[in-house]
Amino acid sequence: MNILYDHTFLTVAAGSAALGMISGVIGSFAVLRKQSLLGDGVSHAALPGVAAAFLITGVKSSGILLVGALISGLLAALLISVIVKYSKVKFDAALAAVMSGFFGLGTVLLTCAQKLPNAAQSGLSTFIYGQASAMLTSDIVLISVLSAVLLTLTLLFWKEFKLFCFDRDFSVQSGFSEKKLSLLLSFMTVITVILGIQTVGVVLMSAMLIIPAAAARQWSDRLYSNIILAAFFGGFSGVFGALTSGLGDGVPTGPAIVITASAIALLSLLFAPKRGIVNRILQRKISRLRLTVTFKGGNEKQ
Amino acid sequence: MSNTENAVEVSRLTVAYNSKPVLDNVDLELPRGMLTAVMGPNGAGKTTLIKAMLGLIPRVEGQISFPRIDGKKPCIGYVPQSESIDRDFPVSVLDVVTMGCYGRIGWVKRPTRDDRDFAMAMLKKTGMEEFAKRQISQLSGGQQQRTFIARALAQRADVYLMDEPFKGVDSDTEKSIIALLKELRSEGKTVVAVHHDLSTVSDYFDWVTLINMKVVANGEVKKVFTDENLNLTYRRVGKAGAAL
Ligand SMILES: Nc1ncnc2c1ncn2[C@@H]1O[C@H](COP(=O)(O)OP(=O)(O)OP(=O)(O)O)[C@@H](O)[C@H]1O
Ligand SMILES: [Mg+2]
Repeated sequence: MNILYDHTFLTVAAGSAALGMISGVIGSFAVLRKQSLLGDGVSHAALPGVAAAFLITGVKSSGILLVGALISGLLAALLISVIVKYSKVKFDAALAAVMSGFFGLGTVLLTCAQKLPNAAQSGLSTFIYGQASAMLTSDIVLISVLSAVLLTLTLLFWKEFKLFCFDRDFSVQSGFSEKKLSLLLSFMTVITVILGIQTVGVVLMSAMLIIPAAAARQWSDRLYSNIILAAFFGGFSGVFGALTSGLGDGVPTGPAIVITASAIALLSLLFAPKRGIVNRILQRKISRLRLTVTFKGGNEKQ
Repeated sequence: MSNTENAVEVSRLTVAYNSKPVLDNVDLELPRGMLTAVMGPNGAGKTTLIKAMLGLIPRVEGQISFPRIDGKKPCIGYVPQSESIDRDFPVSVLDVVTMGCYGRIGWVKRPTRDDRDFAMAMLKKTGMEEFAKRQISQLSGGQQQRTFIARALAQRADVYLMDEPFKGVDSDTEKSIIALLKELRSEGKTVVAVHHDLSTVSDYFDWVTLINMKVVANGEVKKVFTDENLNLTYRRVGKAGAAL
C-alpha cells in the first residue's frame, strides 16, 4: 500500500481520473451526436503535430508538444469538413483518409525526431500508446484546469447540447445556431483528445471517449445520469489503468486504461438492468413460461 | 383574423439537392388564422418546402418571410416528419415537450418549474400525460407523434408548420388532434400541415396547397380542391378522388 503515498502515483492517479471523467462527459455528447469517430481522427492526426513541434523547437516540454498536437488535430478536422463540403466523399471516408494520412506522416516525422540527440529521453514514442507515468504536476494542473473549463461549458450549454444532439432541426428552428453548437462541441472534443494523448496515446484516445459513454448508455435512459455514469466509468478506468500500468513492467498506460474501460462496457452489455443481454434473455424465458402457463390454465384470463 | 393578411410568403423559391431541383420557382402565400393542408405525392417536395420555410436547408434562390403580427415577429412552431428523429436518445417524453420552451428561454438559461408545468399541460392536451416519464423509444408511433405535437404546442407559436402530424395515429387520435388544431385556429393561430388523406381535406382544412415540384394550386379548399387540380398534382390520367 506504499504506492498510495507515492507522490508520482498520486499525481498520475489524479491526472488519469480527471482525464477519464472529462472524456466520459465529452465522449457522451460525441457518441449521441453519432460523431464518435471524430475523436479518433483528431487523435491520430495529432501525432505529426507532436513530432513537428519537437523537430522545430527541439524542446520536449509537453506544453509545446500539445500545442503542436492541437494545431495538427484542428487542421485535420478542418480538412475533413472541407472535403465533405466540397466533394462527394462522405464523412467516414474523408475521416479515414485524413486520419491515416496524418498518422503516416506523424510516424515518419517521429522516426526523424528520434534520431536527434536529445530525443532518447524525450519519450516522444510514448505519445503513440501513452504513458501516464510521464505525467508531471504541471500536466495535472493543465488537465484539471481545462477539464474544469470543459465541464463549465457543458453545464452552461447543457440544454442547447441536449437539444442539438437529439434533434438538430428543432434546435436550429428554436434559434440555436448549428454552426456555433457544432463548432463548440467539436472544439471541446478536440481539447479532450489533446489532453489525453500523452497519457492514453493517440492510437487509443478515442476509445476513452467512446467506451465509457457506450457503457453508461446501457444503464440509464436519462441524459443526466448517463453522463454522470460515463464520467464515473471513465474516471475509474483512468485510475485503475494507470495503477496497473504503474505496477506492471512496461505495460503502456493507454492499453491498460482501455482494457479496464472495455471490461466495464462488457459487464454493462451483459448485466445492465433492462438493456443488458442477460436480462433480456431472462425476460424472454419468463414471458414464454408465463404464456405456456396461461395456455395450459385455459383462456379465462383473456 | 383578416384573410387578406398572410402568415407566410414564399417568393421565387428554388431548392435543389445535388443540383437537382426539388422545388422550382415556388411562389406561395398562405393566409393567417387558417388551417392549411400542403398536399402532393411522395417526393413532391412538401418536407423540403417546410424545411426551406424554416431555414433548415439552403436554398438556391428565393425569399421566405413571416410577416409581422401587430408589429411583432411571429413565433414559429414546428413538428418534424417523425422519421427524422433519433428515437434512442436518452430523454423522457416530458423532456422532449419541455424542449418546445427552449427557444423562448434563450441561450444558457434553464427551463423553470413553470416551463415544465406548461409542458405537462401540453402533454395533457394531447392525451399523453400518463407517458410523461417514459423514454421516447418506448412509445408507439402514434404516441411519439402526439409527443412532438405537444412539443410544438409548448412553443406557443403564432404559426405552426407540421410535417404529417397525422402519420401513424388512429382515427380517434386524429380527431382529437384536429380538434386541437381548430382550437388553435380559434385563437387566431395559423396551422400549415402536410396531409395525405384526400378524403378528410374538406372536413379538416380551410385552405389547400397542392404541390409537385411547382405549386399546382393554392387557395380555399372549396375553390381549388378539384379533380382537375388533383390530377395535375398526382400526375394521374384516370379519375381523381381515390385514396393515394
Ligand atoms: N437530403 C436529400 N438529399 C437528396 N435528395 C433528397 C434529400 N431529401 C429529399 N430529397 C429528394 O427530394 C425530393 C423531395 O423530397 P421531400 O422529402 O421534400 O418529399 P415529400 O413531399 O416530403 O415526400 P413524402 O410524402 O414522402 O414525405 C424527393 O425526390 C427526394 O428524393
Ligand atoms: Mg415528407
